[in-house]
Amino acid sequence: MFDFLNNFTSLFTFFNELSILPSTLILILLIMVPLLIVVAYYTYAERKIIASMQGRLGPNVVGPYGLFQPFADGVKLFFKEIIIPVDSNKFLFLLAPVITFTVAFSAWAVIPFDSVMVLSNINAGLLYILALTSLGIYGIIIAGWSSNSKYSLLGAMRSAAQIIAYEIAMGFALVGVIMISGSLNIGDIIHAQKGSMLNWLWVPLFPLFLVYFISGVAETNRAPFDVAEGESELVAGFHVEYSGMGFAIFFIAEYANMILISALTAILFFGGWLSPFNLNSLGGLEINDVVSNILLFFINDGIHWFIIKTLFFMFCFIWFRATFPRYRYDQIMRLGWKILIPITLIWIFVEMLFIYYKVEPWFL
Amino acid sequence: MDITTILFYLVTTVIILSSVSMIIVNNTVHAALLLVLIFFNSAILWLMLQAEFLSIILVLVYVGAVLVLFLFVVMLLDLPKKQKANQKLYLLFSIITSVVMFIELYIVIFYQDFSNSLIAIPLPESNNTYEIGLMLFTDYVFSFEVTAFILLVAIIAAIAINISDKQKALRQDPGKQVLENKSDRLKIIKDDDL
Amino acid sequence: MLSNYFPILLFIIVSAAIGAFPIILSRLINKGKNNNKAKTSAYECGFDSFDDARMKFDIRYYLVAILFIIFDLEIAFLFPWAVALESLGTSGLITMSIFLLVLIIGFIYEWKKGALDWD
Repeated sequence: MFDFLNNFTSLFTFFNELSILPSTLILILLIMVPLLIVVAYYTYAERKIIASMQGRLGPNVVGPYGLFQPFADGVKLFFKEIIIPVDSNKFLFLLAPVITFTVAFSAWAVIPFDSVMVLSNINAGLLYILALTSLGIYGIIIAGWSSNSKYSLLGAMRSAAQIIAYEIAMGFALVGVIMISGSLNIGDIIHAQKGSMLNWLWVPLFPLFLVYFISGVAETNRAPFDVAEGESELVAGFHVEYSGMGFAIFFIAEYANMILISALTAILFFGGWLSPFNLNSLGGLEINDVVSNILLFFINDGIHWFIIKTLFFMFCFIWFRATFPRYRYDQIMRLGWKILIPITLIWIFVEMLFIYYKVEPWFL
Repeated sequence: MDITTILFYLVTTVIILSSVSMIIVNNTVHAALLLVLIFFNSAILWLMLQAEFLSIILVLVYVGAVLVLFLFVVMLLDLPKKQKANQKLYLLFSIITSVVMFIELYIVIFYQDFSNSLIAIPLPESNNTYEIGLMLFTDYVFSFEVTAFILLVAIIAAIAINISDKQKALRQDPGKQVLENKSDRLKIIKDDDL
Repeated sequence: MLSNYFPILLFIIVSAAIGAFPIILSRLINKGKNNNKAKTSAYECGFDSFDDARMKFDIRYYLVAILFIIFDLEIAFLFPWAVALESLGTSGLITMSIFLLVLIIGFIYEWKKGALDWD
């Protein structure tokens, strides 16, 4: 009954055997287009969820339950003029959102959605993602510098220093993950977590998981770390001069980055597409009717687990925004340098001890 | 001509053009951004030499960190946009330097016998990062430990340059803030005491 | 190995194109007609800006960037170490402990000197 899924995965392998360019293009669009739709509805979900948390209704005019709101916003922004401020560098001003967008989306090239569904299964996958996220800073610096506005430049410099601080913590947390998996390949990292949910890396690496996710929130400049665009002091930070599509591209990139961080957290610490249940322990299950067939499909490993885990962390981003007050800038720097980095360094030493004493089942 | 050859010529052309324009452009920020382009294309070249790990590290360290520093410095210095320096003097020195470098390169390339040198043949199915890790932490472990001290010196030097001992602004220390008690700050005086 | 990187290169190109396309199209459709000074000047709460916005910055940003390079290099060393850890055995653990301890001394020095404070 789930033949169509098998067909879908065989379609994937079939495309690989076709001549490489058109098939790769189709695969890329198969990743990009759903991602853009998810981004659109993520903005809608954010408004709806925060509205319910604050006892409001949120968007409810455009379409049923306001479901067409993101597209209405998109069309509106598309027909707005992109105002280029005087004395700005026109080319760089228009280039900055494109850089941010490209960096936010390119990382998806190495993300495995399933045991076979991955566009490019490279050996140095995690390193590639770390390198790409470190490039995200350019879009911000260029945007801030080229728009020739004091607010933009201040926001960009703050944002850059903040991203730098949290990237180190993020890198150290990734080292902790690699110490267990022994590979930079993201597929291998997921395979290293096989078993039940207690085999996932969040158990031995719980502090690193927290550090990684907090750094992720800070890297995307989201609340409570959104001083770079703190409305009350810097208006909108580095993209204050952007209007119309320039702003929209920055906006899309920010949400795509949030989805990426959620997906990476799900992959690195929560087993990606692995099921939280150990199927061997459910061995005696009788499979004869449709209901248990469906049940078994959902219990099994698959892309749906990846999506559920990612959605949970995406929800956390919104939850944080509705819950926490904004950090002050010196507090942000203090948290990054003086708390998160020492935690990761200490935990790397703890992991060394784990490896030396071969703590089962994570360190063999 | 296969696709890798085309890619090679494309990448090298971009590198040469952006290197030249990096020197020519007046705006220092533009120059720094052109340097980003150069490093990015060099990373592609290294990738074509099968140096997977090194090419991504090139992007991570140079583009992601060193050039961010360059951009900060360029923005910090706030150079005047069109600086008319003594261009003839610069021209003289640059011509002398480039002639010397050209002659040196010519000697190296045309009088050196490359036929006997070892050519590293990449293993077809090897894991680049793993091999580097194995080499670095067994055969070259001494150099690796020396690197730690070099980095330590760099940390100390950076701080020595940047930190002055002058009185800092008043700052809140969260560690001390949480230790404050209610009794330290608040004294309730009742009517009877007065 | 190169064939694995081809889709990535293509992905970067495609995402850059998808990012650039709406901006270019929107620029073509919405030609700015009325470019007066009030509209195009940089936003500064309604005041005219004094001078060029690209001003001098606190030296601390420079220091943070240098420290970032050093820590980034550390991470670059840690990655191959973590990958080869299984084959290196105990000697690998000792090697990296020495390396990290030396750099932790540097980190403590930074901390005590106040390089990580932000006022």
